[in-house]
Amino acid sequence: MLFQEAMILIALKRLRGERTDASAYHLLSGKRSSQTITDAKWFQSKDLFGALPKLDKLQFERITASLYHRGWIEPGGVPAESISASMRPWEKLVEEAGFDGWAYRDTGHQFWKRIALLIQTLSHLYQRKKQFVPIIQDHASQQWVKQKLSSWGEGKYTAMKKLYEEMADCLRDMTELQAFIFVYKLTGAEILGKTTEQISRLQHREQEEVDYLLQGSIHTLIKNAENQPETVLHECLDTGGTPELTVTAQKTLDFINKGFTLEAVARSRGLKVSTIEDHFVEIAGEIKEFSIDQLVPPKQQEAIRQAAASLDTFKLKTLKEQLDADTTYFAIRLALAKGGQKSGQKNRSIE
Amino acid sequence: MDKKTEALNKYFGFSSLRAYQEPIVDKLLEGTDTLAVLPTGSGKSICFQLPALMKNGLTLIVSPLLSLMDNQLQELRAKHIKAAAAYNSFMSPEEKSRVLRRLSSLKLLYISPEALSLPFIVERLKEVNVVMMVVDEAHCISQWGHEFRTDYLKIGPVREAVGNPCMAAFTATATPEVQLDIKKQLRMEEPAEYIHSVDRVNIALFVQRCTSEREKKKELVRIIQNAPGPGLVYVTSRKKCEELKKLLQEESAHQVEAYHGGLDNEARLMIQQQFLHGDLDVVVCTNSFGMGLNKADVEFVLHYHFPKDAESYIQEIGRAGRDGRQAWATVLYLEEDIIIPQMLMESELPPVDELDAAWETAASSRQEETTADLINKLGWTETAARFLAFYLEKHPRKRKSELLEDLEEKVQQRRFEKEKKLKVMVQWLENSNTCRRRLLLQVFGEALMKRPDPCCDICGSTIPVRKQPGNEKEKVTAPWEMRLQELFFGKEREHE
Ligand SMILES: [Zn+2]
Repeated sequence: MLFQEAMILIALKRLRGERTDASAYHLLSGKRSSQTITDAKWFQSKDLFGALPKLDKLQFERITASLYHRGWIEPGGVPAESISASMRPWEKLVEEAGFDGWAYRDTGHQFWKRIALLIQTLSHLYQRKKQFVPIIQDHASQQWVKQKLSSWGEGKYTAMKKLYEEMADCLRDMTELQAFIFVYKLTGAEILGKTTEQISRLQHREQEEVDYLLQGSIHTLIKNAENQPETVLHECLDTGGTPELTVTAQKTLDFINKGFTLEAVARSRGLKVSTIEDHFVEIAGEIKEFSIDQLVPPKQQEAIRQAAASLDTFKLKTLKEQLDADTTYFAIRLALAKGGQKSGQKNRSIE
Repeated sequence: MDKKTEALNKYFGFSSLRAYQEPIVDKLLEGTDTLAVLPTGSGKSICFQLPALMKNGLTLIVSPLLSLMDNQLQELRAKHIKAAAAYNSFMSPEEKSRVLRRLSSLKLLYISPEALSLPFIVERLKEVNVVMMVVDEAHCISQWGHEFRTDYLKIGPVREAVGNPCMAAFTATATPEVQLDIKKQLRMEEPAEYIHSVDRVNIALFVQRCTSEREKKKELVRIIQNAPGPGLVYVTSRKKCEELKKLLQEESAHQVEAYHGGLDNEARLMIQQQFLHGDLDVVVCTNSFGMGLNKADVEFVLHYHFPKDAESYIQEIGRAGRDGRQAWATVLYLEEDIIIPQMLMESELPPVDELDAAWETAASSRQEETTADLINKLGWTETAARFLAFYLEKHPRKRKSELLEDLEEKVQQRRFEKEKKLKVMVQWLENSNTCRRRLLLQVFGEALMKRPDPCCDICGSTIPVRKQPGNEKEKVTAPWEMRLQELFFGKEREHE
């Protein structure tokens, strides 16, 4: 089983046949849309969000078609029982990887660039080698490293040793493979980093897998750093994380904050009501302070959550059939987005 | 110490210039227009960088090659020279405006010819003190040259607009005809001229005729196996690049990687650095690799596909033997391969039967978007689109029928020139009785003064065989803990 196949199968298993195959594609490719973001949350699949960033729609369709053809996916859109044993090692890999594209995709890229350039720069200074071509060409990261170095001043080698210890500690808790990938990607004064392809050859793994594991190790480092304010790694983070909203949902939120109703937002922005509804669902899931009580009476919210829990499904159609006739799809989505955290999550178990 | 030596020491850490660099630097410091035909990799950049850093004001360096700009900037940054920047269409709007804001504090601005021809850029340049203009790859200005770029024709007018600063033109390959054209188009008056021979005496030249793709692959593997490198293998497509890389990884004992436009930036930079650093023996690449790459010890250049003309050939083999040591270049010549430069040639010219449609497209788009529209709507290559956009811009009032007729003639003329050059290349490859070096020099109007040894296959030389123990590849990969320590502290700190 190839990495991409395994990830598609795992995504379909998590979606339990309650979403279309296209939802699995959007999830894996990490499309930042309201629907995908709520899917990632409801189906506890933040660790798959953007797991295959380079996968295009055509490739996805080709792979899925072949999976159906081989009988690995059943007509209902879920993986066949016969394949579950071969999926298990991959599920374990996902579980251990620490990947969280939903929370850390963009932070991860930035964090990596800073760390990689910082290490390259420090090691050159430490080993008294002045000239080098920065392995990270991004201007913002270069500025950041420059500022960091001048703020540390004479203490830079102390910081460097601390950074080394912190990283070694954190890498020791990862799988051997992930630590290897992370370290071999880095460049120092005497050794140059390896490309993803070179690492994949050294470790006899696929490139997509190496990429996923690298991102996973970066996300793990970030998670650790977030909880340890005293560390150098913590200094490499951007402080004050704001909730991740899509740009367009953020705009809708700006309108809501100005007192616009849903319909008024749609009119002012010249967008369809259904699009604005998507934004509402996304905002409800992301912003804790955002109340949906005006839109869905609390009693109805409770009924929806209970139905979802007792039927153990997020399939909107099934829920709608079970609920009062005046419960709209929009109400169901809002309630689940809001409540997915509390009632939903506890009743579901991750396989 | 005189001022020049002082500056040389301060910025570059050298105590003296090479003999042929000295007079060029002097002329430019004096403010005399200069034309220099120097072989690639001969330390041309210092010839204008040093005077630029010493002058009070801004020097514009017009360069068509993004990678070249990047490399030179990186090198300057590595030397802590901050008063240098680049401006080109691949930069973000923020980056661009940052550069324009600090224009008056810059000494060197690398700019693409397209950007230089934008009216608002010219206006901004008029506000600062431009003291010198440098045109790199100056042969692009001539339609007799092998890489004519219409944007280059706008450099002359810009020079006048910014107050006629001193002008320096550099190229590695220019026939006498092209040299004349450069001087005329750049409006150079009685320039100082430094014309060096295109002959690279320390590069032995070989051509091996093959009768099939299979044979070519076999030859490639055989040659590479006996040549530890460092070396470059030139091919024309990404696909072939990857294919040959795999073949060589499997069949030879060397560290081989591919380099082409399909790789992401990070991988490209990494492979370039690995090659520079000596981690790689052979890079299979498209001809964008090696431009501006300062690796002195490249031992060979192998053309798996032959180039479209003698100028390109000279340029590409010029990446070998820059350290002065004996190097060699070989072409694996397969007659059918001629289709590749032919197709390339066609794609770089506006298709004659689409001129009408192109005129309509251009008529409905804004002037600055014409090129982009031709690329997107008609699927033309950038070179072809620029060609057309330039002529439309130059003759805004001409009647359609007249213009199209005119254009068609221009296109045919260009094709004729290109075909002529390709023919010369093929004749050189097929030649089996005249010294290859003599014949190559003839193309550039030069005579062979002294035959080096080794010279070429016709003169009886052969590709050197250097057997290398075949287990280079079996390097053990260190455990990550050790690698991490080495990354930070280097290899000495082993038992701390
Ligand atoms: Zn000869």
